Amino acid sequence: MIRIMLLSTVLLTLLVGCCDRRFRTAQDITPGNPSCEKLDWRYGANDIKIQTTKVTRQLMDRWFAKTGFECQFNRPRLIITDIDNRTNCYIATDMIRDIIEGVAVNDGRFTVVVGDYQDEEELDYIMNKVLRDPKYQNSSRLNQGNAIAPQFLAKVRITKSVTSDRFFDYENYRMTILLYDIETQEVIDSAWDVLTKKVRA
Amino acid sequence: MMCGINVFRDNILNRLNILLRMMLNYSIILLLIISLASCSSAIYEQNSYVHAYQSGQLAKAEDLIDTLSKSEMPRDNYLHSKDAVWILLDRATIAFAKGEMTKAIHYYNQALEALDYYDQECRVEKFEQILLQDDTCAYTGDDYEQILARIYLALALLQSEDFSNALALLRQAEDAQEKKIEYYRQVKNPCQSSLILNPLAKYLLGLISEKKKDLSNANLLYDQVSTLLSQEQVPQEFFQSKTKHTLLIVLHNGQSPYKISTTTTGSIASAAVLETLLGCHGIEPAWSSLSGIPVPMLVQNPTSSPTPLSISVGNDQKFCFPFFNVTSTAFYTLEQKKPTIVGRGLARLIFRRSAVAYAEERDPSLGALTDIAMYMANINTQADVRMWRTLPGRIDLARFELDSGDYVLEIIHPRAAPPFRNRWKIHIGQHPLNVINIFNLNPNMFTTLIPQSLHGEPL
Repeated sequence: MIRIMLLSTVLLTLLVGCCDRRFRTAQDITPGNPSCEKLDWRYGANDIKIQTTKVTRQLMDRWFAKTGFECQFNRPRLIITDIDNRTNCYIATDMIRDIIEGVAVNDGRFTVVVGDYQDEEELDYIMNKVLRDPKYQNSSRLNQGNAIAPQFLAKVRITKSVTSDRFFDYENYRMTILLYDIETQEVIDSAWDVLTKKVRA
Repeated sequence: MMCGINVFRDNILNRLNILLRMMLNYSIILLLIISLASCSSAIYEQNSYVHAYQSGQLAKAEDLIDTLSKSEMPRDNYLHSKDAVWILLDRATIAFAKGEMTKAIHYYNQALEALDYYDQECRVEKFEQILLQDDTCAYTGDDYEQILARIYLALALLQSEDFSNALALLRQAEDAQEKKIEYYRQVKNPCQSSLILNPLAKYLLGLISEKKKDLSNANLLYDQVSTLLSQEQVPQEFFQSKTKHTLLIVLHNGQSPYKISTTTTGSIASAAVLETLLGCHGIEPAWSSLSGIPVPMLVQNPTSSPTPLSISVGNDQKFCFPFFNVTSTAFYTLEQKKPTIVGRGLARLIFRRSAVAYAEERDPSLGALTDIAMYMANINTQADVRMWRTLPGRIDLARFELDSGDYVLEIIHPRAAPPFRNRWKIHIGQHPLNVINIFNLNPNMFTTLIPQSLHGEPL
């Protein structure tokens, strides 16, 4: 009798301990990042902020080094026309817009215009407005002696690839920012960053 | 002295034994009380808002489901309720039919998060299902519902003209289908791939790929759609066209079936035979076995059949083509799951029958009492009837290829009495792909959702 009671108690305790629904987490295993930081398994605001900061810093560092531009009184402007989500995850474009604007404010060396470009009419309106802005020069090449700030078109693209083993999925999220010359629509520079996450399958 | 201590010790042990036996007897009674207890009240509230939804009273349906949601999931936290998935899916679909896209997108997203969380296996719930009732576990939906959840989020995003995220969700739906096929192949579960592979998801993904000029992937997906719908022979107009603007009409047609709990007569007959055989071996028969095994059964409202709608845009008129039959998929899916449901019910019955036998062995009076209580418990045990009730019976599509300009969109119900016509003026020209969703809530009630960029004006 006592044995049965003890056995039942042990069995119930084991079963109760087995009900462990956990929030899925992921580990950041990006090469060069030694901390193996714990992240949310979904690609979200935190990840976008980390990647946007790295990518914009790369772009701006290169541009400022190449041109020697002084951003004390005027700052170059990025006009983000498209946020191209090529992953299989829903990423709210409002969130991306807010994050990019926040990164620009924190960096302080450039400004950014991001809009909800729902249709061509809205995009045409905003392009018309920015192109006529007297403070900004549409060419990405600065005129000597007329050091007003330039502006660029920019496109943000996020892609995803996955490899798997028996227990884990290894997800690579690549964020690319491309800068285009407004006049010639040619790509003048680009930078990218890859974030690798290890998620339990 | 030692003799006295031994007697004292024996007395204590005897009393302890008696106490333990009493506790065991009472624990059997407690088990019966737990068995009799109803597990989820949320399912009973579902009928009221579904009825309001299907009769076209969307505001009332929204109020009712908001009340239910607040009681089941305080602070909108899905962790508080094992029924979160179907509550959120219904809530999102009602918001979608009302045209509240931001809400719909938010609730569909939450539903997918809840789905991912509750999809994790929990052994205690499996044990509870056998011990108590099938609906004690968290609801995660059938496979076709999980894919449709993603498709509906994609449709809501297309309605909001967020093509990028819609494409992401359709990719997610495609990945989910592949993972499920692979899972069933690995566990050697013969599952028809047609119950998992969704032609609507593939077609929408192919269409958006086509509009993004990814023609090779689009053709691949269109071929898969043709294979899946081979019996229906998809009209060629649904595949590539060279005109600049496509108008896609998505018709959420009819009402999906709903589940009720029934008892299989075969299980009652088998139990009677079993009790007779046990009786031949000197074991007292138990009336509680004759309650049978509860299984879910799908039924449909008489007015739930899809309505044949004719859509005309400009000079072009066509009937919507059925792309995905929710009703038949639901029926086939349930048929596949029935052996598992019956097996679980049988295990539950055996467990309860052994409790009756144990009580009978201890004390015939306790055995009789336990048998009566177990009979009541078995009668009150219901099958799992939870499902996503606001789904349509069928999802139909119509595709129009148009040049830029103003058009008159006309929705005609040819068999309605009085004849039903709904006319809108729309402007095509801003996007290469335009999606209009039409909800046929009942044969006399339609809601038409026209995206902002089409500048729809009722005529």
